[in-house]
Amino acid sequence: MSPSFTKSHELFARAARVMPQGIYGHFTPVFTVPGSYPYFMERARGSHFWDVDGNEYIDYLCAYGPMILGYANDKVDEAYRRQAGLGSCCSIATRLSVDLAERVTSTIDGADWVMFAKNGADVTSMALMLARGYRKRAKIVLAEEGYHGTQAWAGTSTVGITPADRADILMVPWGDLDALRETVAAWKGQIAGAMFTPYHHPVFADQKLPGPSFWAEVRKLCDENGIVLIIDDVRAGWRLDLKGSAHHFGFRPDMACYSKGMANGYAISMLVGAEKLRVTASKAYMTGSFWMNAPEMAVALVCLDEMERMNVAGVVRELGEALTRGLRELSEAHGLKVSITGPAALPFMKFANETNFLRSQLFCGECAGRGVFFHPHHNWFLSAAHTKEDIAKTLEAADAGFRAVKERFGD
Amino acid sequence: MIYEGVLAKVYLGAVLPVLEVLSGEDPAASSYAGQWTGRIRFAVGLSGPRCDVVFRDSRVKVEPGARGPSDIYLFFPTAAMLNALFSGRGPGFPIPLKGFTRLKGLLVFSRLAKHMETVLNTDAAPEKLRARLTLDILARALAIISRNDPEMRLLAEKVHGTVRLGIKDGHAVQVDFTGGEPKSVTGAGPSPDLLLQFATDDLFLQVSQDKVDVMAQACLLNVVFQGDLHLGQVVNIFLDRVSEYLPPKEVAA
Repeated sequence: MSPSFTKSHELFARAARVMPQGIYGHFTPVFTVPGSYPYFMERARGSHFWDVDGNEYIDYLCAYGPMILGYANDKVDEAYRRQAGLGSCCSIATRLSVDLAERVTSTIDGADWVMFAKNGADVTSMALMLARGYRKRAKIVLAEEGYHGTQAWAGTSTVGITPADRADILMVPWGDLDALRETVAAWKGQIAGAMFTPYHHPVFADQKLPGPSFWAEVRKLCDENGIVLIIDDVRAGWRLDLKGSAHHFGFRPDMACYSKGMANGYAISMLVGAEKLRVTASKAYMTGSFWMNAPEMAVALVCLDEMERMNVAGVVRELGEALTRGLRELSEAHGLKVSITGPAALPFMKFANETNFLRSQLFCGECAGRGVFFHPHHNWFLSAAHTKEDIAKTLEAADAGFRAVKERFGD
Repeated sequence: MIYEGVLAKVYLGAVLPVLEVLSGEDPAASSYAGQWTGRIRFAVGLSGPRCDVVFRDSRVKVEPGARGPSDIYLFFPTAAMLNALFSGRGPGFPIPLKGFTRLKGLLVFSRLAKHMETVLNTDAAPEKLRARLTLDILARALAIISRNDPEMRLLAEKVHGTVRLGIKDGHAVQVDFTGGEPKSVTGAGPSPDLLLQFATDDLFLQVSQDKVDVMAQACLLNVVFQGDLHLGQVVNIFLDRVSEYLPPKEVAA
């Protein structure tokens, strides 16, 4: 029986009267399948959430990444409550900022200093400013289809963006060393920085992992041309390696951006950097009203401890491998061709014989109807709260999803 | 930025052709069309866009390319002059190379064009007809702009697939982006990669005039937005561009 979304839809009707799109940004239900997915959650715990109509889901989106230990994690939430009781947003910094900075610089590979903020977009913008300030150059290289936030320079939105906003942005396909070399040669001496994700995780497309020598070659090219290499690890960070995704892939960037999983859902982000950029960072005036909030820092400290204690990167990789292995076996059993790409902890599945995602939307809609929350166009996330039982239930739902695809499309 | 050459192609290739449906479906338009028989040629420059508007048996037919003899030949030295005439921005007087004395044909065309504008921009005509004409213009304009506007052409070369825009149980149009040369088709073609379907004619008309929040309407299940949503994001950019070329007009009913 299909779940009811009566309360979700009633709430949305109210939302649409007072907020553009009702629910905007990446949370918009338009990108899932309106009619098959809930719009509003009521509560969440572990790897599950319940929508306002009482439907329960095993969640493979993990709030688009932040939920890495599980929703409503007792240790994390207790750390927040304890610090909130002592004050949150204050007139001066707290001891926790020092504690967290020390913890981060001793954990993240290549992090000689750190600056805290609130969202990924804060720190990707900071990184660009510091690269330009350090090199006294204007141009920045980004990857096509890469995501670094919705700032004007990032190219995500089209509304209100002028050509001047992106005049100094150069685009290359992710992973295309030749294109990067050509761009560097064409703009020799003018490129301040190059910012990439550690592997390619676009929406609406297969993910791409770096080849064995890719990052070494990029590092070399940047060094030879005085280009600051920045890694946007906002999405993948902590799920591949506690020391950072760059460490996982065997290279060291000049700066790296983190957020999402850093505090298991509480709002904090950080930019870490190499020693050579410290003075430039010290000269820049960058701040925000809530950037020094103590409770999120208390949470981040606990979260880091937990991620280390539990070997979260290893746990989510194993869970992801079980999930993707099961999905491959089921799709083959149904005679369907799927491509599952990216790291096991952040996999993305699409049907190999289509580009329009109609099969994916049907599959994910069927799974949602059976209590499994996949996204048809965006990579998925495993968390340390997912269980083997979750994976087994998920594969039961996926079996029905594949059957529906087979019946509707035939292949 | 609006390119005058592209806008002229939009007027001749997307807007004028709806006179065919209008004269077939709308009694007033048919009545106007029946007042004259003959062929009016619109031509921009020596090598610019051109088309013939043919009046016969109370119907209008719009023929692209313009071949053979015409009764009235309206020559616009520049695209901007033609655009001024169609947009009402200026006098836009063409140079009548031929047929200067056949004023009746021009008068009938002028009345029909004014009527079309009223139908498209006011509540004077039934919603169903307005929605159909607007969809036809939208699809043709979308294809023309994405083929000819330099920035949009670059974008069009990166996308593939077919988008269908339509009304539930009503009229539909398709634009095929395959091969970097977008083409429009009136009516529902083969299974599309992206379906954008509106629950009612009224809702579509409101969306086409930027009067409602289409994303919210999709979540309220009044708009079906299904398939290649990445293509949908690009189509959205094209549609915004169409409304820059053809902004809604304030016309007295």
